[in-house]
Amino acid sequence: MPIKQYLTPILLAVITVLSLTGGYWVSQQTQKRLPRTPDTLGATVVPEARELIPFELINQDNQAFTQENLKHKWSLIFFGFTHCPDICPSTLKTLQTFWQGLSVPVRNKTQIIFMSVDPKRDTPAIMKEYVQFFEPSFVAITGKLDQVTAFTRSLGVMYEYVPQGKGDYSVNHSAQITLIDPQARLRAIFPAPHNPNEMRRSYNEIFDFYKKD
Amino acid sequence: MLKNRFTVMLLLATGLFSQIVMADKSIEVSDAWIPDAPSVAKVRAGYLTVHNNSKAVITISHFSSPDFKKTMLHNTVLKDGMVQMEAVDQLSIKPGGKVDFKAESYHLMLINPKQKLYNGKKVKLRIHLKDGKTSSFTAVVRRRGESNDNDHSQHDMK
Repeated sequence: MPIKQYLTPILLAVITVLSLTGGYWVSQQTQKRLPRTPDTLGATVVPEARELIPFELINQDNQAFTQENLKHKWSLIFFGFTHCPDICPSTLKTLQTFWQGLSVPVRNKTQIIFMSVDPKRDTPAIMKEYVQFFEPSFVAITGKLDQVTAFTRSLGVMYEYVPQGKGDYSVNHSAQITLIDPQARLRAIFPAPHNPNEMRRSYNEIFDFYKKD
Repeated sequence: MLKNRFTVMLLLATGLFSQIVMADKSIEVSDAWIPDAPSVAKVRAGYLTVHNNSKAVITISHFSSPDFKKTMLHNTVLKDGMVQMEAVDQLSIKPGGKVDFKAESYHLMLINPKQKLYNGKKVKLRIHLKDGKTSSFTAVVRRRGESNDNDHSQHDMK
């Protein structure tokens, strides 16, 4: 019978086509891509969110701050130090303007974190007054030097101490703002320089795109 | 003898006066301000614009202030994603030119304020040129992001 003879190959071909189509559809659904490219987005979005290594830092109230404190909210982290007169307060001002322009629902799902890479001088009390000058809800974190180093390295953030004589020093540091998603995973990087309005547009786009995750 | 002394003093005074007038025309400081910052901030930034109104290059050697323990001239440089603060030994301004000391660029490092700084507070500063001329001016503490970027400074020359 000719029909019986061709039935199996036809069936196999249909199954193959369906499998390929279905596989492609699933891959498209799982590998979500932002509609804009990083150049126009103003942020470098990590294709696959990266888990952070476990860490234990302290916040401005001298309370433990771990990966658990990064969950359930989006976190924007800027790295600096309070003896920094220019870029650090300038960026915190940018983050203040960025923050104040967020819609309330987005703001409720967002936290701004200033991480000091100068734990020797930046005590919790100093950090608290420093960040709250810009916005009372801002969080400040630091830790022992080895913990600070481990945490920053895991995020690709660098810093180095630069002696300035008589025991004084400055700190060169990465200028980026790092975006952590509500599962405590590295999601994106906002490279410097930062414009609060452009950054907010990009952040809202990322927030909307991933909010169903 | 007394007449000679008077003549010398008169010549000195005339010379000093002429230098004041000459210097006053050659350099102008405008919009000098210090961003308001948390009181725990031990180092403040100073921003201003220096105009060279002369027909010669002027070179800034340093700044000073009685209101801070130390004053330095720095430049914020963004290199390979890293922010670096570079000390600047001297800074030249071409004839008719100007230099803006502003956020994330050239700025003053004002270290350890000797008194409490608050919004509206005026601070004394002095610019020193390589040729020895100096000019005092005041900078006003004000909040970052305020749009009134007009001239808040006053200055006189020596």
